Amino acid sequence: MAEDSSSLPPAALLFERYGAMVHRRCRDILGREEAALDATQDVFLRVLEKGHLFRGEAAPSTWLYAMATLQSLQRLRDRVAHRSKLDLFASATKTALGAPVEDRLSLVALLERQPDDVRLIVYLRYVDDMTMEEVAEIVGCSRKTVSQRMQDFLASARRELQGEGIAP
Amino acid sequence: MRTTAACPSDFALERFLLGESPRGAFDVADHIGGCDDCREKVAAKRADDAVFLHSPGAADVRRRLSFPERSDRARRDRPLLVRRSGFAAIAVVAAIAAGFALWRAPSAPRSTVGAEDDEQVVLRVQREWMEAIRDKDVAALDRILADDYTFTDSRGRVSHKEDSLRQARATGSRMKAFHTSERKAQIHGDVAVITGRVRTEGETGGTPYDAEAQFTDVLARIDGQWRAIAAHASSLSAK
Repeated sequence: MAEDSSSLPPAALLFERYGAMVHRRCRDILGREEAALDATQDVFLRVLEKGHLFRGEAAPSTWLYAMATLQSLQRLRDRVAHRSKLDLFASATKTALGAPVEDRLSLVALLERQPDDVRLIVYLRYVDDMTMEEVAEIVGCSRKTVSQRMQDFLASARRELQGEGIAP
Repeated sequence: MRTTAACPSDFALERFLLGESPRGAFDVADHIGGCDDCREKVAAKRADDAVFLHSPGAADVRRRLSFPERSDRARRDRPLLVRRSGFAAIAVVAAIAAGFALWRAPSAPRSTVGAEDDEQVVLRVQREWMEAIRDKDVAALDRILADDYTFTDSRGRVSHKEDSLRQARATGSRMKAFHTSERKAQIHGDVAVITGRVRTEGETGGTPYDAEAQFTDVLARIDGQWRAIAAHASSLSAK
């Protein structure tokens, strides 16, 4: 809106345009309607609080999609309700590592220790099967940076898992 | 997850629905035109848009976004309150009523005969809406506005149906005439988006006004009737 000092439209307007997308994303990851709605609400409340941090060069859809993914991943803690999604996440990490790691809980714990941007990159790349270009756009950095973050994560993950005697 | 290597990601389909053009040479619209699976996904998302935005859950999120200063529990338990402050200044523009929800992809297929009929109907309903504001016809407004209707003004302030009805009952301001131009309607299943400009004349608190705004109205077919669900207006008058 031309009248607004922020480069983002008000959260209520963003909700009308992107709310359904955000809700679908949260529901896809969390699997449950109530949890998805809570996560959706948190995304837009965060827009209210942090909207001034929005990088104006990107479409709001990329920012909100990333926030919806992160909000949902942060809620993937219920081992029973989220078992299938955690398995999927762990399996994707196993693919990324290229190692025959069978200890799912170790992989999940490893992921939970990662910073938000790394978890987001791993999820987008290996669970959503996005291209590097798409991941870079959503995360808001260059493809080269995404690639470097991935390599750093994989290297540290291998070291960590080897230290625990899990990976060869 | 993609079904084939050639299918776009879920996010690419979402952006297609939003009418955005993702970076890269891959033409999502062309792909969807030839991929039954992706076409079904897009159709499902489009249907989900309408269902979600009319759901009680979405209405609850809207209310919380309108009152971010309150605690979660307080917001959850709070009835549909209205924001009172600042409404006098925006009463006229608020009455213009416009909306925001542009999930239509430009190249998305449209229905033909039905869509044309619907366009005429929603434009008529929108005009009746304006007339109801001008005539302070509370019953007509109550019929036209959906229960979870929200209006957002140029400053991002959000009001609800009860505010509009209260405005109609109030005697302090009155729109005497309106003139719309550049009105266009887009039909997306059970959702319609109307854009245009409106100039209004009247008086508020004894002071005459002459205001112009760009508006976007969103109507939805609810139980067979087109009703307003959201609106937004940007003032084109001096700030």
